Amino acid sequence: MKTVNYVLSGLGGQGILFMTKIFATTALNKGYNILGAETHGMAQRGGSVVSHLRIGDTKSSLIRAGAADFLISMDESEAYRYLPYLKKGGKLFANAPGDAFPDKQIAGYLDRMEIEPRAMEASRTAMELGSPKSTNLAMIAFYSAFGMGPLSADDLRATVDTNSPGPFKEKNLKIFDTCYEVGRKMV
Amino acid sequence: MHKLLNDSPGEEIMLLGNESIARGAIEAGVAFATTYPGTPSSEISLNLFQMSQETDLYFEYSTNEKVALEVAAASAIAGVRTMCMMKHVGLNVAADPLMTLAYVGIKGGLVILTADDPYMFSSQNEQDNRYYGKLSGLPVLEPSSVQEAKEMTKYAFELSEKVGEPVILRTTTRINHSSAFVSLGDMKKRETKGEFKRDPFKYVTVPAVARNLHVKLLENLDKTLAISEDCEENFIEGDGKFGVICNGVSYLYVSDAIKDLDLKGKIKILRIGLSNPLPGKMIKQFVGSCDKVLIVEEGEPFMEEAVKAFAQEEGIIIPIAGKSEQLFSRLYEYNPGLVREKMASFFGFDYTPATNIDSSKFPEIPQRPPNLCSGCSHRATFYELQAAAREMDIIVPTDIGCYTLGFLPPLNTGDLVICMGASISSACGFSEVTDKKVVPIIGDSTFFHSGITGLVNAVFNNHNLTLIILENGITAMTGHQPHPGVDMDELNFKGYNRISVEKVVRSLGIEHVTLIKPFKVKKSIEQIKEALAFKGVSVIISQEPCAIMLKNLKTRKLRPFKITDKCNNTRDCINSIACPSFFIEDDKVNIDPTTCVGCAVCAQICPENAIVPLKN
Repeated sequence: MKTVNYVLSGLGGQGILFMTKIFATTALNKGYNILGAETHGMAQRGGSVVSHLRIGDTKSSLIRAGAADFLISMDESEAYRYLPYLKKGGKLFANAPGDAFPDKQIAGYLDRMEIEPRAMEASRTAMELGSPKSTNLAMIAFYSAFGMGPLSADDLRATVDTNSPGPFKEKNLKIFDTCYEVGRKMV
Repeated sequence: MHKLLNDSPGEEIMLLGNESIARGAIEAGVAFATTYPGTPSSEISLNLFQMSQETDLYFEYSTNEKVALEVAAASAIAGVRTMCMMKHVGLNVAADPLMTLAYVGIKGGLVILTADDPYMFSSQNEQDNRYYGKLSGLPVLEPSSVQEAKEMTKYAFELSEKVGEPVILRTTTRINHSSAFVSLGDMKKRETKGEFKRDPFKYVTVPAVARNLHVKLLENLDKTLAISEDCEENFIEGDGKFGVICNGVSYLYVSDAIKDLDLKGKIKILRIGLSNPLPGKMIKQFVGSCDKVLIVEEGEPFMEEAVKAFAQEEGIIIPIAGKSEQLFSRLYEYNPGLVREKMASFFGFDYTPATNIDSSKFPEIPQRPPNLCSGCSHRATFYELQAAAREMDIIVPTDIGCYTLGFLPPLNTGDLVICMGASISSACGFSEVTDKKVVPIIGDSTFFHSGITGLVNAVFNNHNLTLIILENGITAMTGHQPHPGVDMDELNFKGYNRISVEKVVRSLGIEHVTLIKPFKVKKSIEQIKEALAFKGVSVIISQEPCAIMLKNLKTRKLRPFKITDKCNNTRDCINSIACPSFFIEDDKVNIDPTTCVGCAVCAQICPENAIVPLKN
């Protein structure tokens, strides 16, 4: 299989490590080889955080600029910060209000790079569903609705299911299903 | 059972680099481990600490890295397999025991892990600790991948016992914090008890003994050199008339570049995994078979300078390059794209980057420096200090920890950072050469680490300073590790003692000691004012547990606040303390109820009394 590269980004405290874990565990359950590179330590104190995840046979855990297939960002400006990682034709998913995204200033760049942007208000949805800290799950579900890449919505949902501790399981799956539906409507 | 104690050899599990290293130590039968926490090494210790709770592995969080290495040294001298972990700058603290321990040598394998941090993701410098190998005469091992990190940790114990010396295992952040599948191996049984036989002419390093020991160290170094020339850690891969010599993660970037640019058969690789002493014969042969050699190593030109010297000895005149303006920098971390580009340009292969990124037209992206957390008591103390010192011109040497982050506006608290413990000692110097009031700031963990000696100095030499010790009851920045002032009973760990910061301070005979509760704003400001007015050494101990720790322990009910209609938008809250729980919506300040912990500091600052608890 050709290596598939995911760049995940967001802010410290949004749960990027859990997000990475869901993607990695899903890939692992599918029998894929994976490599990841994460942000730990100081930057987690509210700073910009990024996680690289590579599925397939490759050696280095870091993704080159211009080589990511997917950029999934839990924050709008953190999507712009890591945009140069996306390859031509790469897919962008951001936690942002759909009508104001993307910013006009990058429309030209996205066109030239044939990058199709997709956005949903993941934080708001998570908040409305009573789990304000679940922007990460919301974005995984939103991404999964488009059926792109080697990890299917069913597989990702199953990983969320097994990795959610008892009291959170129901809420987490509700967020997943709701955000999946938001995505399905855009397909 | 801890996942790293999984006894099914051959199974592959996803591990973080640091977990892989901890597992490697367990597979090697490590029975004794010491550390002072520091990113990017912290998760190695954390995992060993957790495993020590359910096995006979001895683990301790030591007071500082020097202490950690000295404790570890005795264990290894007595024949027990031992590991000592720290971040790169920690080895500076432990450099004193390191240098002479090399003379003394060890019996049980001793692995000293130093986690270097190119690009300074979480550090004050990006020093290249391979030079410690050269300085001390000790072997240095450097893994390239997460799996290899485990294998090399195991091998480091064997190598250490083979040559009778501690082995330095040097990683970089990119290894520590990458994750990958790791194949588990057998776990060797731990031998937890050792034996020390008196042998003063081997162990007591008076000059007459040390002169002999230095001879022995050089012999051991020769033994390591023979191993370096013929070991699996140093290998040649591929073929071609161009050569790349590389180490660590750079090896992965080089390998991917050769694959992606289809350069198989054109470039061969010499991967150095045992980098001190470097395999001179092997390098000479490799360089001798190439038309051009590129050295790819993050950090200093450690290998490059040696390779050039080896080539000179052989009279080989080919281009050998590494660090230069056109090629690689001594600064920061490398990445796959950079390595690919430099390899192509040096060897003259076509390479156009996948994209030509012009980000000049991108929307402005906010700088996001790490910030003190919502409800962090350091923020309150800093606000109060600035309020108390409003009429004064103070110098604030600060220290290493979360509280270093107070240097940015609006708190503006922190004027100098050098290294762990330097706040108090540098304050001694400032107090003598300037006429300003000096107010050093240090956390409790750092105070025990190396602040105490500075305070003793301040008292003895009678310097004029007001020390603020931020006692939050944990080593917070590195992920909440214990320190000697921590109440371990509260954390459910048995068998520890607790050392009171206050008693230590008072025991030094300091006359003016003040305890403050930083969430009581007015009172704290008055108390700080009083301490600042004292001439001589005064100490303020600001006591309030780390907000994140309380959240994790769930011992305190969160009581978020809200902003009411009384708000006239003066914004004293945002402008003076800038807690991350504030946000602006429709030009009005709001408080995020999911992150506000209810410290009530903003409520005490608000001139309109507009900030009140969400629920009464």
